[in-house]
Amino acid sequence: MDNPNIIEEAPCIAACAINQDARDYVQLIARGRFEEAFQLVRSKNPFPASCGRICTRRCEEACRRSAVDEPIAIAWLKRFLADKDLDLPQEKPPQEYPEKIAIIGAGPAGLSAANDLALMGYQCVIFEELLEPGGMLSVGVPRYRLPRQSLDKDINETLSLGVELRTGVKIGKDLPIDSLFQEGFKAVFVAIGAHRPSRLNIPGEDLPGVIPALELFRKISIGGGVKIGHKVAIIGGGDTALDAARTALRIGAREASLVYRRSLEEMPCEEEGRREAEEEGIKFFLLAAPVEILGKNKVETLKCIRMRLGDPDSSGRRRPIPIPGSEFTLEVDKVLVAIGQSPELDTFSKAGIRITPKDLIGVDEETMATSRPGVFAGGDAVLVGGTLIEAVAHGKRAARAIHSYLRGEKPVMPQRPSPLKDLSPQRLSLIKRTPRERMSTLPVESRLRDFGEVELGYSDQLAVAEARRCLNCGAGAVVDPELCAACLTCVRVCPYDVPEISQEERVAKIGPDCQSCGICVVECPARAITLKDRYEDQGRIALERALQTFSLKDGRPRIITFLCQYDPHCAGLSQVLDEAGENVRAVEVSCVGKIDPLLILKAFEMGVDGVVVAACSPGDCPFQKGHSWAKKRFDHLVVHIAALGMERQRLQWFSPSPREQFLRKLGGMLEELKKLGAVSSHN
Amino acid sequence: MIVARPKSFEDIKRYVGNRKKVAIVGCGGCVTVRPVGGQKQVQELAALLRLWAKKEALTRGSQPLTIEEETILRQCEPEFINSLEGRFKDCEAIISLACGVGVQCLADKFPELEVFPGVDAVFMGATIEPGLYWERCVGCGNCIIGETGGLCPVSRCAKSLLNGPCGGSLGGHCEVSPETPCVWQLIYERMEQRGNLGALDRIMPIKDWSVRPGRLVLEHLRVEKKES
Repeated sequence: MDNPNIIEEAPCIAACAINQDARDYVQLIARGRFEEAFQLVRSKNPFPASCGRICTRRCEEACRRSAVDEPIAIAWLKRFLADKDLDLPQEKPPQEYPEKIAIIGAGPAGLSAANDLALMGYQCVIFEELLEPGGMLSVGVPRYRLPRQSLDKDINETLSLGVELRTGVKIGKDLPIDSLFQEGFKAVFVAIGAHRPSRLNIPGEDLPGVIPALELFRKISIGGGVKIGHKVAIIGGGDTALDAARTALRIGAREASLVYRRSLEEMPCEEEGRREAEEEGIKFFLLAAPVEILGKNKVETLKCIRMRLGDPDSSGRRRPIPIPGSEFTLEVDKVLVAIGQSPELDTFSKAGIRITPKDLIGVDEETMATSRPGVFAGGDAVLVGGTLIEAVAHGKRAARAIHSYLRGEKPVMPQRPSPLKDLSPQRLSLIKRTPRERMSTLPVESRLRDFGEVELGYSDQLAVAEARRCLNCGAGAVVDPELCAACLTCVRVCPYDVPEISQEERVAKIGPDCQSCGICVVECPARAITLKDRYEDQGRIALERALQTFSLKDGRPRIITFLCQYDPHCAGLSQVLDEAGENVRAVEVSCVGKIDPLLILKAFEMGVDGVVVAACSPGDCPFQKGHSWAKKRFDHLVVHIAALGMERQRLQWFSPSPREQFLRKLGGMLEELKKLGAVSSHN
Repeated sequence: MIVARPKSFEDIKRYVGNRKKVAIVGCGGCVTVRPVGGQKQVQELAALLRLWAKKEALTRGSQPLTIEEETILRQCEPEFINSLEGRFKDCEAIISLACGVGVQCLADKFPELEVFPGVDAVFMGATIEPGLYWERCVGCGNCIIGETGGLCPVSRCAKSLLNGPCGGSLGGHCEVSPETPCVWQLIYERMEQRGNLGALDRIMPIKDWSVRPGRLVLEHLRVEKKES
């Protein structure tokens, strides 16, 4: 990661091929800081809109929240950011290098390399065989999963950095690879993808009506009409097979049957996609494999055989074995084949680039360098069946390595952090269960009419609510051993029993199970505890901003209202208050348990006439005890305020719900404070 | 550890009076652990005082109040006290949030300044539960706990009886304060539990209530320093 001292990271970050800062942008979303969140995403990932939709989400698989209830919907949150159309131009590179770089293939690997190289200050030219950029994202993923405008948004962002795109040029056929060097390119990145469909190798495969799924997608994406017939069989069990089946239904097929040789469990696809396919009425013939395609002049019948599962094979999945005598047939008009594809490598082997026995371009896995100096490769051409994020990672790694190569330096690749260990079992019952926010989907009836996107996205409110479920792994509290007095306060106040003081170390240690409630930070008498989370300042900056806006106007009295960001009743309240007039400003805090009484005193010190704490109901606190600690401190502070001789009415604890009552109470407080006047002028 | 409680704000206000600048000094020892005098309390007291000064601007003769905030590791050690050398130059007073020991060490270091106690040290005690502390030792100079079942009658008996209980032990509680368990009853029960009630038949001789002030010399810890 950016910090070389961090060797253990949140599992979501560690699991990602590019170590995308999932936790951090989710935490920013939880605080409503969408622009910063998107900037953070974009700084590492040139495909936010696409990844937010079709990423395989290793991050969510690794999410520690899964042990409590369900993982955070990280991808959906990324998509939410990308869909907001925030206008955040990327910073221009500080310098420019003279070397030009050729990139073959405008898929995710090629574009990612171009993006990063352009940001470093290199001029890149991408050669794309097809007429449109996007590679497999463009021709291998149907629009209802990844709308063209979303893909274009990602691509245009990279192209806007000054990357040149030449479409309709096939390297090898139109332009030999050596000529690129002759033309003056100093390095080449080969990201041609894998577009040659694998064959079934069964009789009848060449009958008209047997179509590779990719070809179907390609025809549709270039706007060509396809006669699909009534009954369609799809061979395969991955995302492409599901997409082919769902696409068939959208272009007129009445029945789509998916034939897969293993069981549901082994299907190498996204669960959401499979569930949606089931909803749409796709039939699944599992544990079945095609043996022959029959028909006069065109496909008529698909003959299959039932399978059973044997021992695991080299992929770790159980090997399917045919059951003799179990053949059955399906009457079909078309057979779509989606059993994988491989790269077309003739040009590259002729150019002296080593090809592996698996028919892939051989590369150094760290630097993506091929056997030929100056030529790098990545994406599906080196890793068939790779994912979008792996392609992005290859592109980014290649960009770094190309830079080092051109500068004559040893390439320094980013260290991959290892994941924090799982939440300890005793913690699970202490963490409040909160189900994942569902994303609404298009109703099935309207889905099949066209290629409209099925998953409809999050609203601001849903996104924030979902982001607040994040456990902020690895960014919780940390103790300064120099200041710690081993007083046991943190051990005693933690609602999750995380801090420990060992006899050996004699200072408090707060482990990675910390939930960032902030109670110990406020309570520590030695002020030895801080939150590692760089986005958490327990309301300090928000208070300063609020005070500044006050100073621009003269309205009296001035009231600061601390709001719990985590309480759904406070949602939108901040805006209501800010718009209500010049007397009240809101300071949002991610749990009132994080408010230091000092902050309230500071507000008074800075000239406010009254302070309100609007907290959730006791049972609603996401940190269980944040509410009760806040209340205890508040009551204590009331005593202090009285000792100062300040009027009790200046410090109030209001429930934000029901809102009308809250606003009425606030109005009443305003009236009272008008009578009382300012704190400082009182005698 | 030494247990202390914050002084009333009335007292603190009186100490500050019309002064323009004061320092508040916390201690990282007992009063941080029994949290009344750590950095957190220094900051809170300073904020309260500034607010008070602002509110009382007129009665204080429109004097703004500046406060220096500092917490040292332990106010009872010369090395740590010396780290404050040169500080508080334009302060008119210091409020120490340490026990009386710390207050005096500060006063010795800054003889020209008025040094006020911000807390009242009440006893040497244990945490019974977070926030609840009970006295366990008075520093009598002649520990007899070995003879009394591991319970100290000097600190825990209202009369510091050495041969108890007295006639005021009622149902296991002290006649002076019914919430206080009679320590002699506890001693009896523990001895009984140990099967050693016979030990209580021995009369404890009159105790040597040492002359004040106490003085402790640990020769083996003394460090000879060369005159510079």
